[in-house]
Amino acid sequence: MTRSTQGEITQLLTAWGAGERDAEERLFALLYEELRTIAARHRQKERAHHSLRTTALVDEAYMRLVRQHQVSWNSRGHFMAVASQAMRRILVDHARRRKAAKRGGGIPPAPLDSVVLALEDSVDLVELDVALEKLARLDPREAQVVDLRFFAGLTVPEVARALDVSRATVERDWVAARAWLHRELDGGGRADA
Amino acid sequence: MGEEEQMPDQHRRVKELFLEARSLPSDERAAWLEAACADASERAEVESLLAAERDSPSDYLMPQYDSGMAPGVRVGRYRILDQLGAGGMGEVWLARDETLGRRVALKFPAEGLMGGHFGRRVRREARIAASLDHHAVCRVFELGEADGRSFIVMEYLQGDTLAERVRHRPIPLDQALAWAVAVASAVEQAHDKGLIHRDLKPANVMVTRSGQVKVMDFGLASVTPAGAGDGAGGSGEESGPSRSGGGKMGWTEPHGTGSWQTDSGEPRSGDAATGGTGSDDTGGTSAADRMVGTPPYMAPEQLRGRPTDQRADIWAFGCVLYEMLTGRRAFGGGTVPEVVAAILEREPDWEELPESTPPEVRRLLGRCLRKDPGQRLRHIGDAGLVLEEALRGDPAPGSPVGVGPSDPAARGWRSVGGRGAALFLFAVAAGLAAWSTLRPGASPGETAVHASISLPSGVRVLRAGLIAPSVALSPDGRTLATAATGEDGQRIWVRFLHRREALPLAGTENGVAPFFSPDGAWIGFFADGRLRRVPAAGGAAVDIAFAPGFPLGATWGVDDRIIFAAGARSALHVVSAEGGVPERLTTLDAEGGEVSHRHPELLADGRTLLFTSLSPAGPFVHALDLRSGRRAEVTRGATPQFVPGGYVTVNRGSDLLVAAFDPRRLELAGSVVPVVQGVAAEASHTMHYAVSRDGILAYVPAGTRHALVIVQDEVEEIVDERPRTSARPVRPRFSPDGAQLALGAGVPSEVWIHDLGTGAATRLTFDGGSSPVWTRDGDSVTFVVSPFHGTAPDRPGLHTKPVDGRSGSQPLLPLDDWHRPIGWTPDGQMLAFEAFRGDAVPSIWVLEKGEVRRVLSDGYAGRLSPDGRWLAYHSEAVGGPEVYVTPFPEADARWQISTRGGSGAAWSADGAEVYYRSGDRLMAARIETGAGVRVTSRRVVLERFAPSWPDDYDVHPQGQGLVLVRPSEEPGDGEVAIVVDFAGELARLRQ
Repeated sequence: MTRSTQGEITQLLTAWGAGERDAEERLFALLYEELRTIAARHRQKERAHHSLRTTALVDEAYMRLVRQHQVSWNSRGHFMAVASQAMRRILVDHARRRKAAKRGGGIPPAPLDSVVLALEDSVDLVELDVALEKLARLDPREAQVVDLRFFAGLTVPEVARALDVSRATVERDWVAARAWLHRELDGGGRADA
Repeated sequence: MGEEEQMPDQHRRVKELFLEARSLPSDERAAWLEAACADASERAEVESLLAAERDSPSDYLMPQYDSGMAPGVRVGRYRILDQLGAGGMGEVWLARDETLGRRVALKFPAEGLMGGHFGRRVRREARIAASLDHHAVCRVFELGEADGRSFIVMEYLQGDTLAERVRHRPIPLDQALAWAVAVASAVEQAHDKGLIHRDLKPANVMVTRSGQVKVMDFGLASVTPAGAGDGAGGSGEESGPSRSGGGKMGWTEPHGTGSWQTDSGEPRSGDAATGGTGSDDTGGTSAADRMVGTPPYMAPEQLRGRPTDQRADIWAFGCVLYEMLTGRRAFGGGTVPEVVAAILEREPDWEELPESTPPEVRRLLGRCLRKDPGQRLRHIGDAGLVLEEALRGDPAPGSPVGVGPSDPAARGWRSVGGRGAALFLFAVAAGLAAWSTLRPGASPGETAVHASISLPSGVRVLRAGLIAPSVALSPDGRTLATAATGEDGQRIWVRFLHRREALPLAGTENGVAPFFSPDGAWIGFFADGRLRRVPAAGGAAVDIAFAPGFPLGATWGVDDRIIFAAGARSALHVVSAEGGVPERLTTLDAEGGEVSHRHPELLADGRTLLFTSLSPAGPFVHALDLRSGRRAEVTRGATPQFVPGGYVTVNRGSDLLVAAFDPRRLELAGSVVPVVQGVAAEASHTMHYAVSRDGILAYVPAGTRHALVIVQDEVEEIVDERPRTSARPVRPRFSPDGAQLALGAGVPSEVWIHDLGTGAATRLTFDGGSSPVWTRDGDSVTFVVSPFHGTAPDRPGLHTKPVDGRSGSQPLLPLDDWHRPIGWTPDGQMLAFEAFRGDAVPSIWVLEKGEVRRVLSDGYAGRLSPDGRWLAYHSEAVGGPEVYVTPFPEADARWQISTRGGSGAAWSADGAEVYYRSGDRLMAARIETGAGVRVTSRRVVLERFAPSWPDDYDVHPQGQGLVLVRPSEEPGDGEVAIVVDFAGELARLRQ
């Protein structure tokens, strides 16, 4: 990532924050690459048993791209909102490739394996992605809360700041989304209904 | 499902109803929903969400919690060292209590968990557990609070949880009983104090490296009415306002007030239950544990929400014992209803218990697992008594080792006292890297359990040129025999893998090259030109045959014939294990250049023999069908071993390789793949390793140590030697007066100062530091804190710290990518450093008066000349890697110093020579500087330089030699590495 790219990201964040939604797509593409790069580097640097965490990835991306450029606090929320979607896209794509590769026989090891494996311990990422798309049509903010919590690892207060809503709202969305997704994905709650 | 056509409006209404309903007590919900919902379908919708929440694991979709801890961080009086575990519920870190000087585990509950009701609950956990003092209970030292963080300080335990142990296979009977006795004893003390564990399960029982059993996580213990002492935590409070917002769910918090229902529809009270994820933080929760999010270890009355007492623990104890003995859950199932149904209605499958299970243990299990608590065993202490009796009885058939109290002397043991022979279980990074090449996509943590067995200090595994492997495993993999040398001379040492100590076996004086009989009862070995045998459990050793010559291996067939190799220029011989005169078995093909057959290895069929054939072409593994006499070359390599599942392993040098083998065709059935690297091997092509019939691998790691070596006048002197387990020294640099060395070492790296006069090594940094360079006055070092160390984000960059440690480090320049200092100019005004700054390769920069500018974009690994006017560096910009010199700080010209390759430049004390590495050599080029730079001559400084990295050396500033980092292989080390499920790994690879 060159410095000009960093500058671009800063501009894009500012533009996006100012309501220029066109900026989002470009920002997303940049972040997608940046997160992948960071993940690949972690793969080399980290000791083997230290699993990489999405939080660490997103934080590092933030530090590298934004913090040193003194972007205002509000932008962090914007950044996280986009980064969480980028993170989700990366992880879901990766999970999908792993699945395809598994069917095809060999799975080349990839930087995100540990992340995906850790997350897939509890949920199938590809299915989650489909369910989240559906949830986003019913309640976009609920889906966004899941992106920020699950994919970017933000705390409830951080999500509240990122989305500019109260903590109570985030907690309510979070509880509702979890129940809804569990029902959707695992048929939870249907067994004895 | 029906909600596909759900409109956003309806979704919103259902969501509101759901959120409202879940805040109500469960017994009021039905009436409320009846009134609030518009119609039956809406009500069904809300109820399905309530049920979905109820059924979801407490950490469902929870973000991976990040405590912000990192190695080096200080929390109160604790210094964080390393991460032990992490999950949605929190993190556990290894830390050092700097006041008491002991290592502890710090448990950081996930966000928000320490507040409100749940915080009180966690605090109570700490108080209750702290009141227990029992050898089989994980100690809780305190509930710490520092910098606004709350954490629990616990005993640091190293080992596996029972969940991990039973995942692979059932635990051998005697072992399981011994562990169960310890668990029973721990729970008994808790019950005596009025504490109920309530979450006893394999994942909550740790088996430490030293073999101790520790019950962990009394997180759900509540004070029973009998224990009136602690008024803080009656079960009444537990069923109180336990829901504190969705974001705070998890860890050991119950699912909610009375929201969990069983098939019978009876509400379960909130105090009785937990999610199955309570011990995430101990790293002990298997994926299976999270399967349904509810513990399959809950007693029926717990599931039904009835009042529970200590008999719930007795039920769980029965489940744990059953699981240990069978390797299966007592009450399994893939879904919540299946597990619940099994617990409420079905008996465990008693047929699963091993045949050798004593009747009294079967009866005990039955009494622990009665559905009706009234019919159940009442006192856990009774279980302990039964188990102890069972242990004292005769060892079960098929179990070669009794675990009960035994008199070592009676067994022919000679104890060596308490000199720490401890079982270590840890993931060995070395060698695991090789696995990933075989098993794409696997992370090392998933591979077989690695362990390492340490011999008592001063005792080393025998390494010698012409010798057979010094390690052997019993066929069942439970006993390791090793030829080792200590103060008392050469012996065969035996270590039962589940016991603490390795002990020398009496009667094995001068014994080498051990091997086991097929039933594991005997150990054969060579000593003083004879082949001998001794009972593995101790006893009188007897001679089998004369076997003069170098002992190069033996194998004991099922027909009690022993095939052995003695002599460096000999074929294989065979002799009855009962004794006799050896007969020649194989014939050397003299015309084909064969000089030796060695390393015989019989397949369990007693028919297929592998051995090493040595000729000038090198070692080759041959196979011989003893029945037909057919012989075939198998592959290049030596020291063949059979691995269950149809594999053979061979070594090529220090690499252990594996391939599928077809014994009928006497040929490989697949390609040869390296699996472990860095195993001790000898010039005789012997590799020191063994594979048991049940697929355990033991090997002696090639003992690479990294020594700091001062080389002066062709004499090498070791300054400091670091054992293999600690990191190598990196980039040692002499102080300007030459009296001290600064270097980086460790992961994450810290800066150390070595005083060459006193030999003392002092750690200078505690928050990360590497690549130190001295300030020109010699008072301080400038070093880098890498952004990849995981330290606080504010810290990465260049720092300077006085070496007397009297003041802290001063930040010079924050940098967020890889970088390292090169050195200061003599006036102290300029610091040269190299960094990645937006390019693919690092470039060289200078920091002067707070300003940074680039010096060079096509080179790195730079060093400043003593006068600070020249920079020597490495560049690959023109053809291959060469060393160049350029003026500093204005790099307006450059001159090539090395020829035919060069890297790792350094300056002589007088600045007249540039040192560099070329191939294995260290060279020095004499230069003249004037208008330009001219090389006048070159000399070889060291023929054998080859440290780990070209930059890992320095030239003494007063011309008193060099310092190098040199890997050195130690002959014979005190450790044997174990891969527990080696064969299983190979089998999985094949899939």
